[in-house]
Amino acid sequence: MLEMKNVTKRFGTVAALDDLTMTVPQGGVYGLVGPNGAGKSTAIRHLTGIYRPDAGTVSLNGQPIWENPKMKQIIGYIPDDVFYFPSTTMEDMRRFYRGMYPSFDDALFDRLYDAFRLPKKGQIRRFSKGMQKQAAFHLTLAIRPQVMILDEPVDGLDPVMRRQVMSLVLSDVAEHGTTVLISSHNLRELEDVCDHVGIMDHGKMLLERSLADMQGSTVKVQLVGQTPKDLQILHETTSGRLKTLIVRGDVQTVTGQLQAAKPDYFDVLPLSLEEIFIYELGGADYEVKNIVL
Amino acid sequence: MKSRTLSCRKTAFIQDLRRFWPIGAGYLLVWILLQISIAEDVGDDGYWYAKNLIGSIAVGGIFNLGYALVVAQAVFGDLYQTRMCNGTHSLPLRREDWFLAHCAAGLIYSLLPTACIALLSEVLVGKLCVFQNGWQLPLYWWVGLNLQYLFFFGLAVLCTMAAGSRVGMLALYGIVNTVSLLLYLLVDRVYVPLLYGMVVTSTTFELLSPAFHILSLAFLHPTQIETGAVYLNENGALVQETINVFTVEGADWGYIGVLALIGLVLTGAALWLYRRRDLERAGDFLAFPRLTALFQVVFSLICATGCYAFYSLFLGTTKSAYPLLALGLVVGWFVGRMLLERTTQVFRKGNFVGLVLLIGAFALSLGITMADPLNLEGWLPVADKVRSAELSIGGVSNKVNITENIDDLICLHQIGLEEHNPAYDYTGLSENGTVFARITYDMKDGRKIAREYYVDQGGEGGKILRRYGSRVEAVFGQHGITTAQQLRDRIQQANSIVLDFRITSQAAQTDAFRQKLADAILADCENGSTARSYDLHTQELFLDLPESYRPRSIYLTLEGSNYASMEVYADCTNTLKVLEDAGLLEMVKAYRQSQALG
Amino acid sequence: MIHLDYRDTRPIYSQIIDSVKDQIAAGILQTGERLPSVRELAAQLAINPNTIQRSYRALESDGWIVTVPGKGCFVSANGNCQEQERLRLLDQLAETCAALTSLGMTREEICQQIRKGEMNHA
Repeated sequence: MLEMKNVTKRFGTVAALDDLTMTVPQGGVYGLVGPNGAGKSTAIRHLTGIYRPDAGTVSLNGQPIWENPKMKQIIGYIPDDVFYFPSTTMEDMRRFYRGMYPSFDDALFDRLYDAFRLPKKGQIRRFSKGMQKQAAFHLTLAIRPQVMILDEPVDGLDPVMRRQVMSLVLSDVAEHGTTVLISSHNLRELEDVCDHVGIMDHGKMLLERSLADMQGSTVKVQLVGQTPKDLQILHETTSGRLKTLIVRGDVQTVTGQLQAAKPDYFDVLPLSLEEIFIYELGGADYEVKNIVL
Repeated sequence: MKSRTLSCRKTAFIQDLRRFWPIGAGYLLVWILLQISIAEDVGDDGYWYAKNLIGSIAVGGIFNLGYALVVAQAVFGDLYQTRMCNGTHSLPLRREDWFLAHCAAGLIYSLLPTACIALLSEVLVGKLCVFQNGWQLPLYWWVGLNLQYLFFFGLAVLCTMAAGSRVGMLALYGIVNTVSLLLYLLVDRVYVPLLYGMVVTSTTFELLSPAFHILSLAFLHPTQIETGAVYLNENGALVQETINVFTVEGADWGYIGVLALIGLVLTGAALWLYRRRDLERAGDFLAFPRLTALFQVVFSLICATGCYAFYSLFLGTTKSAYPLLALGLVVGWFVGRMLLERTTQVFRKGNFVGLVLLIGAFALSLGITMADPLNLEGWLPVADKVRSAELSIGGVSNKVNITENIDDLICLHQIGLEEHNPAYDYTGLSENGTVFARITYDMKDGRKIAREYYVDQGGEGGKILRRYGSRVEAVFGQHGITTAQQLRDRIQQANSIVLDFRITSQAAQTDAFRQKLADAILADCENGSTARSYDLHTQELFLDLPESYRPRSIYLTLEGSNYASMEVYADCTNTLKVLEDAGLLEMVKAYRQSQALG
Repeated sequence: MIHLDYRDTRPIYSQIIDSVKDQIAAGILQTGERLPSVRELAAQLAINPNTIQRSYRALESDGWIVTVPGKGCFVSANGNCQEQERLRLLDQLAETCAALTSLGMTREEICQQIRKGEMNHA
């Protein structure tokens, strides 16, 4: 289990992380989402032992990650900006990773050439950006890490590759119980693969819950007519006669409440992750402003 | 888990070797080329080969200075790019593991190429076979070079840790290596002129600039020693058998030994810095915010010194150039700020505050120096507190060591202070004008204090100077002759004795003549007549020559491998008599006459 | 083959459940047939295996499938399930009819539509 407890990190006077608490349960896929500048990459750099927090603790299975090779060697990290040594080839990097990670699986590395189709001999720096990302996946999967931390992993990959990559990662999760943390803006794709979600903004964790809970505990109601008084309304917008409400509660309970009130028209819909994101961050800060140019 | 760490370190180490081997190869190539050029120059001369090889240890200081910089920037360069820095620090290695791997690779990059060269040298030395202990030469060479490298690499690694970018590291490394000399320049050109007569020697400062100091070290001396056996040479004469060996200059090795130790300490300090480093500083000029203030001040002072030094190159040290210092400070301050902030928009109110403080502090220091609260300018020693003193007349090569009659020197010192003559070019020892005199006191409490004045030769001070300037060591000091016996020996051993650059005769070469000459010169030295120059020669003998062909003094040279010379002046009556008796003066006159007639 | 519609706004786990039920009801999945393992399905569809696990558990607790340890998940021979499915679909029909009625359609018009649909299918 990956944990960050009350972590604060300052760059100069700006607090990139402000008393952040995050818990990534073991054996699942955790989606870390937030607007640009929320501090996602900063948090990830703490989890991979690059940054040291000004306050708070960062641990894996109870052990600190900072300067702890035992923990770091079971973590596979793919940063948003992929790194490789200049003039190295896939085979060179394989040798390097083999020396670094005890769980490196040579046979798996060979098999992955079928999945990723990367050239063995060419220099990685001459690959396209997407191929470099694939190379990172190729190497990281071969490590057989117990924890995978992926910062904007499918950014730059074509749809086929996206499926391929996520399929491999998820198959790992299914077979070995790998813990995966993905940070992304693409909420639609994240929705398919996550079972836990953490929403960050301004260095704080706004909302951290299992997807099942989230989807079960909040619904979207489209309503024409009188709004029932017993509804727990989180957010409301009106367009003509149609009201769109975000209501606390599961589908059945809310349906029941609405049926009792007998409005002209109503519909109860589950919320997508994207909608949850917008409404959780919504209101004051993050509205799409109607700017007339 | 120990084997795991070892495996990771090994992987990192090998990666460094794989990535940067061209740098090591380049270094090897440079030394090979140097060796080839030495070998070509000397051909079969094993002696000269050895001399050149020894000489290349001193040059190694400069090589190591540059090479250590390149290697350190290579192996630690990942710290300067965010992408690489973050990537590598997410790998399962502790910082000290990275550090050890990089340092090990850095050392190999010097040890290995130099070992190859040493082996090559062994082959050459063996072939040329001149020195008895010659096989040790390449070993000494290898050790000497790598001791130096230990220092420069340690320094470079420390600068790497303190900086956040390649430019920053270069700046820090450059500053640290030259700061001592720049400080000397600042003190010597700016502060010292404010106090009349003050001298600050550059020795300490030089010691603190290793790259420059190493250039002046000898390390090994090739010499010949006598085996005790004798043999007959081709002329049938009995000659002592000698063999070539080289001896070790312990002090020089001590110096680089200490440097190497310092290098290790600096490396330790670098590791300490590394542990505290924030990786997000990759790309910044400096990695530690607390260093910025120090950097700015030092950089400003360097610019100020640079401005002033540049100006004084063309116009000499004058007080009117002091405002240039202020200009240099201002320029240095803002340029330093630009480097730190990596932008040109630095002309903000906040930045001016520090500048004003700096200029104020600097001006204050100049003011205090001028006010001379400790009365350094007017200091006079007490005779019994002085162990010995050295008087340098006209130039550094004419040195006289004095252990009795210290009062004479103190008297001279006082005269110099009182006369307060401004600095003029040396016109030479004569009846008139001022001449440069430097007195260096070796105090009983261990201090060495020097003063220099321009003394009026027409006054009492001039008399004292001439007395000392006539001594054997003053006249012949630059040729390595400091005692009467040495002079006698030199005269006896000279191949020939030549006057006026071309006049010599058989009579001048006999032992008897030489003995008389030596006696005469020493007598003239005793009565103080060998230290007066540029008097028009009023010798009767030369009066019928046209004025421009009359010698002002006669140049006497001892030709041979131990060259020596002196100028025979009109006052040197004893010497002139001996020369005249041997008919040499006639020959000089005859030659000059023939020149005058065309 | 379990199929997901990406434009469907329903959560994935309920899509899986419904997809399995539909396939059983349609006879595509026969009694005793082995369902794809969690791992296979996760790899195939690139979705979270825990979600698939949830769906399978829900299906099992409703009696649609049985898990044999070490072997996998199999379609159960539970006729009751088919009955439940029929009831569920009937509920859906009632809902649809109610909605159509509120839009102004009469019962006769609705029946006409049903007959039309039957003829198209036949």
